[in-house]
Amino acid sequence: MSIRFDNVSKTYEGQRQGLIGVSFAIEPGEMVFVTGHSGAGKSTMLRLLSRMEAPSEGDIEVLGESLSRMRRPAIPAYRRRLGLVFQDHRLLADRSVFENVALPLILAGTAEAEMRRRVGAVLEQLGLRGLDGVRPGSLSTGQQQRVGIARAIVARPPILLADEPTGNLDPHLSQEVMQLFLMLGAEGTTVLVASHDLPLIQRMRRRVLVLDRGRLIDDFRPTKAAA
Amino acid sequence: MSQWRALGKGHGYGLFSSLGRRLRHPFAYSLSLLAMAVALLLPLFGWLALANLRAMTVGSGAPADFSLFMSLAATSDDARLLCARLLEDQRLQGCEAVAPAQSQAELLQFDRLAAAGELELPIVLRLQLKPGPAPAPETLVAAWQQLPGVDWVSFDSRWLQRLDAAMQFGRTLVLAIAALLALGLMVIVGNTVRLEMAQRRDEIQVLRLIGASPAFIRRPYLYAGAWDGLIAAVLALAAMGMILWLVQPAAQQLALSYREGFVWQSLDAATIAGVLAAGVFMGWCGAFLATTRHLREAESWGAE
Repeated sequence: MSIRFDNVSKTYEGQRQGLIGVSFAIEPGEMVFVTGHSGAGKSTMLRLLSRMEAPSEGDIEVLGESLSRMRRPAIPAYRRRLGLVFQDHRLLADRSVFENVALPLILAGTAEAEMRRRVGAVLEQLGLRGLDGVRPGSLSTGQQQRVGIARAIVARPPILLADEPTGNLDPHLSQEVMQLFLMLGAEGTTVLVASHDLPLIQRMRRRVLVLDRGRLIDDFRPTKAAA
Repeated sequence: MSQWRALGKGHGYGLFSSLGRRLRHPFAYSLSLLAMAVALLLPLFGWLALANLRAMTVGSGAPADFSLFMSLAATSDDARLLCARLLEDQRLQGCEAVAPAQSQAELLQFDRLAAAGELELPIVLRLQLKPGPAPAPETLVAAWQQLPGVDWVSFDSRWLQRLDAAMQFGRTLVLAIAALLALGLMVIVGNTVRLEMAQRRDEIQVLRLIGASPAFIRRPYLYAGAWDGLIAAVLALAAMGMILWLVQPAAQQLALSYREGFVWQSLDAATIAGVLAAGVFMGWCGAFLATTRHLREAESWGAE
């Protein structure tokens, strides 16, 4: 099992419920969409999975490790096994595209030559060739999003968590990013995508978790693509 | 091997990028550096002043530095012979034999009761050292104590003891001021680092989310703190050098009026190395405290 939620609840201060009794399991290499309205609990789920927060009740198991019992010093090493794609990119403004994308490899202690090869390959894959030395501030929103995706996948993490990864991309690029995610899935990476983009979700015909006000109300796989 | 190279490269990047970031705001940085330099300069100045004062006064004391009390059986001829023998030592300037009758008369001035009794006094040799470097008084006392016909050697060290006590007080005061100013320096560095971390809060959060360890996040800030301390120490030493250059002629003149052959104590290699090391260490400590606190606070950013 790659990810397992076991009756997970998250309660914030003021008794606001982020998640209520959510249970599901995701196999290695599976690509799953999480959808729901704003405030449904998608972001809470991603924050719990990235161990920015701990669940109030229940347990989350990722790659065989319990996040509820994970001690603070173990969190950085756990996070290095995740690829995170943020809706707002979160790139380092004073570093070049290359340096941004290379960060996970630097943290992993990857050798220089190998780092250059892998960053070059992923930039090529995402249509960012030639932008290595450019600062993120001079890129378009779509390009920034792709740099964020490149950073998330460059270290080939076993799990990729993406929060609205196609929110700033045109349909063509969105499709390409999804194909990239599928390819990663085929190579064994578990991909969890939080998205509002229902047409895209339907086109992908992958498993969908539907959240509503913190509860998991549906868990299904679309049978045919939307018209 | 390549991992070590990558680690070294990371440290190198942290080392130089931290300095580069500081130099992007030269005016604000200069003000902080000046405050830090003054914090290092004041105790350094106090320490050097004390060292020179000590060197200026030691050896310039009373003319009769030592008294050799001969045995009661010793005659005036024995005393004369011993004086001649002692004066072969180039460090001695004079040797005066004081007869028992003269001692009795001197004693009478201070203590009539003691003088009134049947007190048998020995011949006393008053020895005077030449100005300039001399061995420790205790060494001379121990050596002269072994001479034939000598019963006891006394060293009039009260003035030196008073001086030593004053010096000890001065040293303690300088140390206390140094400790306070070191704390001040750490606070300045810590505050500078804290402000920089606050400005780079988003970057720190991103680094945390992609799995950077606290040590990795902290590294450039620790280097920045060490740079701050090092540059402040260099400035303090430069300012100290300039002050010494300005005051040395007048101070030397003054010192020579107290003591011949006085050698002005300046900044030696050990002092320079010590000040630089202290600057780096305190800067690093200030940055460490600031980053520790900031990273602890950063744990609560997760919900944002």
